[in-house]
Amino acid sequence: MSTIKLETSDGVKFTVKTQVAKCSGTIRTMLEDIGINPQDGEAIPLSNVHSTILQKILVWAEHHVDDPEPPREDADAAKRTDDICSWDEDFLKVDQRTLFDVMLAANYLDMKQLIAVCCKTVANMIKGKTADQIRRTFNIENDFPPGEEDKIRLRNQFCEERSR
Amino acid sequence: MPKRKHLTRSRAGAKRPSIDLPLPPELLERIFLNLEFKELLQARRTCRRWRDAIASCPELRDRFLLQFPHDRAITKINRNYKPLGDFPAANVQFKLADYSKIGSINAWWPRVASTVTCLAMRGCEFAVDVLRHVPNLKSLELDSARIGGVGRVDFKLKNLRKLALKEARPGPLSGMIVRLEVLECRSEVEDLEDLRSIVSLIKSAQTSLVELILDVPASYLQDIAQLTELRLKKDLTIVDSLDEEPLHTMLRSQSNLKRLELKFASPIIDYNEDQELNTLPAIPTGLSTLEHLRIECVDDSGWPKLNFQRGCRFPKLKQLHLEALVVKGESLRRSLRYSPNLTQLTLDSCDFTSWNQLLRVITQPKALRSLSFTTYEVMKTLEEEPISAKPCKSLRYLQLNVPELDEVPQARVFALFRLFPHLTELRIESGVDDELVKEVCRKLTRLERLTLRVGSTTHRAVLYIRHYCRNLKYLTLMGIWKLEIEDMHYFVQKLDRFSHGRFEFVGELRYLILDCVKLNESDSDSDVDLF
Repeated sequence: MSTIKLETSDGVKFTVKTQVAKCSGTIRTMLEDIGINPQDGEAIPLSNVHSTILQKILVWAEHHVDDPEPPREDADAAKRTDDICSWDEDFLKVDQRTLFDVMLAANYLDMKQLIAVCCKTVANMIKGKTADQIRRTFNIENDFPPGEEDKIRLRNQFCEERSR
Repeated sequence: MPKRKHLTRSRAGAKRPSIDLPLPPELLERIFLNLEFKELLQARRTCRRWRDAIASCPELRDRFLLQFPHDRAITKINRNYKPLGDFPAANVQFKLADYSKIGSINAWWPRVASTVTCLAMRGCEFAVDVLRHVPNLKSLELDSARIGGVGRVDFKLKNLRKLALKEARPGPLSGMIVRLEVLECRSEVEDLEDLRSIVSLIKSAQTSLVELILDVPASYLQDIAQLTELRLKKDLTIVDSLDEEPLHTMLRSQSNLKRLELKFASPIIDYNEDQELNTLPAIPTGLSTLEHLRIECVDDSGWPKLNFQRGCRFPKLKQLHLEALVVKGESLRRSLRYSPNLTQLTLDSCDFTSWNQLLRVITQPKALRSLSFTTYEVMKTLEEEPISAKPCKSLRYLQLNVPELDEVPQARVFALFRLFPHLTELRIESGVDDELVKEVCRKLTRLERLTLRVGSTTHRAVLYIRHYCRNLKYLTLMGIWKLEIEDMHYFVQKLDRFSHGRFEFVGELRYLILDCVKLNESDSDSDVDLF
């Protein structure tokens, strides 16, 4: 089985099965389109990803390496967030910092399935909460000028959902 | 500490250690796309970055509908009207009454309009300039509205693809469209001026038009049908046309149509009076590209008869929906014989000349996956003739709605289950009894989803479901069912989804009636005030 080397931002080198590494659209493009030759023994630099996060992402990729291509999403189809498989659910039971770092790395590495499941996880953390509860959950600062939030609240009341 | 007094409530929040969500807008968008509308409103109130992320994403903006005036007490929009702050809505509606004239809104409208893609104007008169500020307009609806005071119009609606005119005239619009694809015209009163403007609008759009919805007086159709250059590539909907000639001229000119919807009003009031008169224009030949066909009688005064011309074939048909009609079984069967791709058949409130004819129609399509039918008289009429239909093994979904199902000979209903042995989903919306439930559970061994409405069932029915339906995943019990507490546990644990109306426990908790809807879904946060 062929392998390639990846080097993270903190200089750690990983030897990874090519097939697993190709879960990342970014790496796939490097190998297939740009023609980086993994036989050279040169490590592919991933300057935006820290080793602790890459390690975690590789665990995910290893587990999902044989997943079939997901069906193309219908733009109008109702979005479901209760269909996260239990393995992924356990995998993403991490502190927020790590979760967001995984998302950023997945975004950089172009791993669509991982991004989707992370976004659903975060969406589930928002669901059913008021703005105030959301701020507390994510430690977000309310940076609206005084009175502005009240305006939005008022506007919200007169805004309807477009009927489909 | 005195300084603290000057801090607003929001500033106090900043005292907590903030990890400052580092997510870029595209990831925030992806997260927000998973939210329900009310949750989105909360997210908008959270902080500037979240508000802006929602405002800058077209897909999210598209879910907001903004209405002017924002308050029902306001009946006029003029220079003095002030909207309630900005909103990133892609959909806007002006709703007034009696052609109330919209005054100057230039002070705020251009800012709101720049992101608007769908605009509806109802019950008002407005200056054409209102449209000048909506460069991204894709869909425009005029409903009892008119464009007033037209001078020279020196701009085009380049992105407009869909125009709906309901009791409204196009005015200068025919000169402003560039690539209109969908046109909907509805009007009740015959008016020559009206007709001329619609014909001229269709003429100027005919090279790009793919879908046309007409709910107009029959005399209009006559004129529109003569626009022989009109070649719709996709859809045509015609409402209420009983004159065979214009309808046929219209349909014959269409050689590429994929979807056709015809909605008829019943030709005569008393349908018992003269069956021959109560017949719709026959469906003509030549509609060979159709994939979806829907024919419906839209007023409830009686079921007119539906005919297909001899030689009428639909080789590409996928979906057929007939509603409130008396169908001549043989004529329909002949036409469907050459439709190998028909997968979905709906016969809603249709009656057939005989039970056997109905059976032959529904068992003929070889690839049929989904069948739904509601019928009245035909199931109850007695026939000596034995059932002569062959089983159809492709069918997966059957929906059956027969009012007074208990008056139908049971053997007839049972026969249906023998004809469709591979069903995985069954929905019976009429009241069922124990024997029927038993037959369903024993004969349809592949059932995964089952919906039943309670009739004269006892607790035995529940036991049959538990005993025989080994593959069941979804169960919906409508009406008040008798359940043991242990049945509840069994269904909740074993099934992916168990939903029901009210139910009554038998056994220990004899008289407890609970009014729950879905047990497997949590309702935990529903009390939170989302505004």
